[in-house]
Amino acid sequence: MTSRDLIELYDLVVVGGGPAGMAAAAEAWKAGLKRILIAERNGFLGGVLPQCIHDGFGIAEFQESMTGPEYAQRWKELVEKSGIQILTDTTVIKMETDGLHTLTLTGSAAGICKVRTKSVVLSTGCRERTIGQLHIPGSRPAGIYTAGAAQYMMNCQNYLPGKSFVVLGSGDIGLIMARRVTLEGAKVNMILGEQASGLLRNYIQCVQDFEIPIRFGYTVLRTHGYKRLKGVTIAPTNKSGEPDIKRSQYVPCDTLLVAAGLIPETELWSSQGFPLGQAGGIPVNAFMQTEKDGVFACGNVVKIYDTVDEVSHRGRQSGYAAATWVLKSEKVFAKHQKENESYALLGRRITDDDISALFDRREHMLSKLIYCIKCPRGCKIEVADENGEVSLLGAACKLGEEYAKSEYQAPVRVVTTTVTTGAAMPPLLPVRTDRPIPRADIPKIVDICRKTCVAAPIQMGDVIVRNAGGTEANIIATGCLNIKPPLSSR
Amino acid sequence: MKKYDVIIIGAGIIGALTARELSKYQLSVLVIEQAYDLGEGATKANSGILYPGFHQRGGSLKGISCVAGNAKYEELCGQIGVSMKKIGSLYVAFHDEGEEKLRDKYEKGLKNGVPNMEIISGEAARQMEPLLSPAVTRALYAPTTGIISPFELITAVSESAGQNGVEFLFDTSVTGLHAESNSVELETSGGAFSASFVVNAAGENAAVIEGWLKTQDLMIKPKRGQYYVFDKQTGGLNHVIFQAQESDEGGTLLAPTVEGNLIAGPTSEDVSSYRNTETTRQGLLHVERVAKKMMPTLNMGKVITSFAGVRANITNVEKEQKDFVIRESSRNVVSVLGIKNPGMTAAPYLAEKIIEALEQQGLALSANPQFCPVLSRQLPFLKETPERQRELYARDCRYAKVICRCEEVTEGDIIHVLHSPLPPRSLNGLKKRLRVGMGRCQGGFCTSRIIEIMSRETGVVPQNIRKGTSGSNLIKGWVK
Repeated sequence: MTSRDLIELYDLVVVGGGPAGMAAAAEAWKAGLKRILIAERNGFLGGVLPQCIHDGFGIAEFQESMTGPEYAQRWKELVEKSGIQILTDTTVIKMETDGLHTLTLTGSAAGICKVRTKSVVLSTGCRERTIGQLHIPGSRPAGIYTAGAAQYMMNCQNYLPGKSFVVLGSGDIGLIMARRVTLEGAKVNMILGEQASGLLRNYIQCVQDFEIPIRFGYTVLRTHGYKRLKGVTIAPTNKSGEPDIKRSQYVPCDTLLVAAGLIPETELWSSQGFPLGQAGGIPVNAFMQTEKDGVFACGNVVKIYDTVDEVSHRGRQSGYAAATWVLKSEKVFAKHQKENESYALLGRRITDDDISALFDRREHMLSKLIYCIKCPRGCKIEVADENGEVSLLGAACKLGEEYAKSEYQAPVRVVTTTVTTGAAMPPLLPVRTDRPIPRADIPKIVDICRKTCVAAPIQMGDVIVRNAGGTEANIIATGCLNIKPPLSSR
Repeated sequence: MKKYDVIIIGAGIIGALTARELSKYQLSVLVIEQAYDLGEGATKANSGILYPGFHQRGGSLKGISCVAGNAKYEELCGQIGVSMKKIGSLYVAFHDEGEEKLRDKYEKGLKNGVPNMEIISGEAARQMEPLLSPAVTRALYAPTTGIISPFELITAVSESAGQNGVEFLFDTSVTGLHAESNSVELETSGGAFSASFVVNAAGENAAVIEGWLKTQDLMIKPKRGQYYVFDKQTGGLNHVIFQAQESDEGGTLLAPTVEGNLIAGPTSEDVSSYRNTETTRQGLLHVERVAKKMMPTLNMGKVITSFAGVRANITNVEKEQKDFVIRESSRNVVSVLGIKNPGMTAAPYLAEKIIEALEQQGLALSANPQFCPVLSRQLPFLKETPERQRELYARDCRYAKVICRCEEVTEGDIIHVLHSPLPPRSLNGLKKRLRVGMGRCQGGFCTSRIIEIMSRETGVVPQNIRKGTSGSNLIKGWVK
């Protein structure tokens, strides 16, 4: 759409078309709002999801495990089949809240323009904490990236940021990027975790599967190199975060990935002098309402959530609340409150106890203990193997027992990666296996994908390689490839 | 072999301003720079302060040039479109000993001609700066202290010089210098050049180059200063805050920047190499301690980055006798040595002094009738007027597409600068001209997109797009 399609007064403008914003818009439409606009700064909807080609999304929202692009597509379809207006490549640079709200937009399709709206949903997401914010001293050569920036390079641009990595931060993004880098043939020398964080699932499937060295209670003390990064000095930290300099150690690497947490992107809100909440985000009540009438916020701009499912859920809540506000409905938000609990634990987060149990001297993962990741309970299952006679101890259910047995004897994984398109834009198409394959076959599948080049048109779900490497699994597309790329993607 | 009237070695602020000053006359001028871009030495990493001139010895070249240079900035910035604010400064003291230093500064200031200084009580200082430490007992207020962006300054000065006919040559180091009877022959990594006169404004290398022509009596070594930069919206300060330092505190100051950030630093440490722009744990802890001494409520959580700069420091002259040096190194060669702070403040005055020195050596100056003092620079799209925005958008819709969100720089801005007369050739060069990646996300979002744009616009493959100097390639290749 262009500026000519903009209307005089909107019911709702959603700032940010990621998972939170798409859910908010879709829900507000469902609740009866008709004049809705999503302003998205990227050339596509989905926020960060298109670069998150790994799976594990949608377990709560859709009861299946999807990759980021697939999860985004579900919501995108929902939004696109409604009458919601979408402006991509468009950034909201200013918000004035005075009775009606006035937003200043700038974008290649609409130029600079102002739109007026009865309500606003702020779903601007978050940004990554950088090395500068961690006060890490040293040189500032090329080769220091936040994990998300490197993820966009590798999964969307086909840029390889480096060949020999250190990952700072053992949260989910750090672990997932460590796997991604390893799968593409680069080396991860070490993951450094200041503390235990992230989902257990990711420790097993990213760290243990690829035998990546990980150290807890360590930080980067200093970066080295003048032109390109040459290495980092690492050191253990004590409880108050002070590094023990005597035990410092030099680790050579050409790239440092900083995965040290996310910060709500509250600029539009805080630039007006409005206060932030304790979590550093926009403060909202249980209905995702801010203190300003008609302004709602949801997703990571409120606080950093563990899973995208919960972000979507909060998005729906805020969309519903905005609709109620605009329609002056008295049905006071009751509908959405009761669902909250089911999102509480989608996966088990790792704890300090887990680390002691799972890691040899807190460095190398052990395999005699299997954590069940089938449900949030996360049973600790011990495996005893006497001449092939496998017995399991600790599983609370049949499902857990089966999982542990398969993990011990023949672990299986869904492989997610990319294939090339031969086109300049987009250069890559995300793919996955359509069923789990033996873990030992992962390199084979990745190698097949590395050698595969596809041509448009491709729909999500299309089979790219049938019976890949004799595993019986097909490699399927998790993104679309149009013949004529939309203008906005340039 | 190309022959010029004047060749300037070094495209730092001294070299660039001298070049612009020379462009007022009918002269052919070439600036030779060893780095890949403008202002890659002391110019790019300093406090961004226009000093008032009371720190320097009374009557010294440093003191006089600081006061005179400071006074020239209004006109200069007005002509070349650089944002500069004379926000004034408070030099604060915490106890009797500090107050003594404060009075000493006041005396020095009087000798150097610093206008309108005023000694005020701690209470009065806190009324001007409510977040100032309650421990401040007295302050020296100087209204002429200013803030400026060194990046914007060096770019605009050089562009103005370029617009008036000065040529620039980058990635070229001077390897030899021979003063003949009426010319100077230069050997460089890019071939031989000849000039009637040479200005040696090579900063870190100035003493070495001068040493080729005469016995070097000055020992010049690198001195490093480290800084913290705080996010916009950290707020809280309206003036530059200097402090009566304890012996180990260096000249650490706290100041707002023209862009609305807050800066704290520098330290002052001897290092072994001019390439050593590393920050250190001790250095940053020092900056934090001294900054908090001035402003106890300073929130270190608002730090967005840290950096260090290295300046050329004369080491074999006693501190109180140390001064800037502008001198004839041989026939037709003038060298500028030992320029550290307040070098940027002093630069417009020093440039005139350099030209006086050249004139004394016989450089004939006749006015250039084509000289245009005004540089009309295109502002970043989102800072332009609505009319101009409409015009730019109609020309290229990418002007409205934001690439760097934190600093609000658009794709059109980037494309425009990449095709400007002195174009950036790396990410850092682009940063200097547009501030991309300098905000709170520190390039987290825009770096990857900028690689794509730079590659597309310049025809360089992505793996050869650099952060800064040659060898600082941002990515290693294709994934597949």
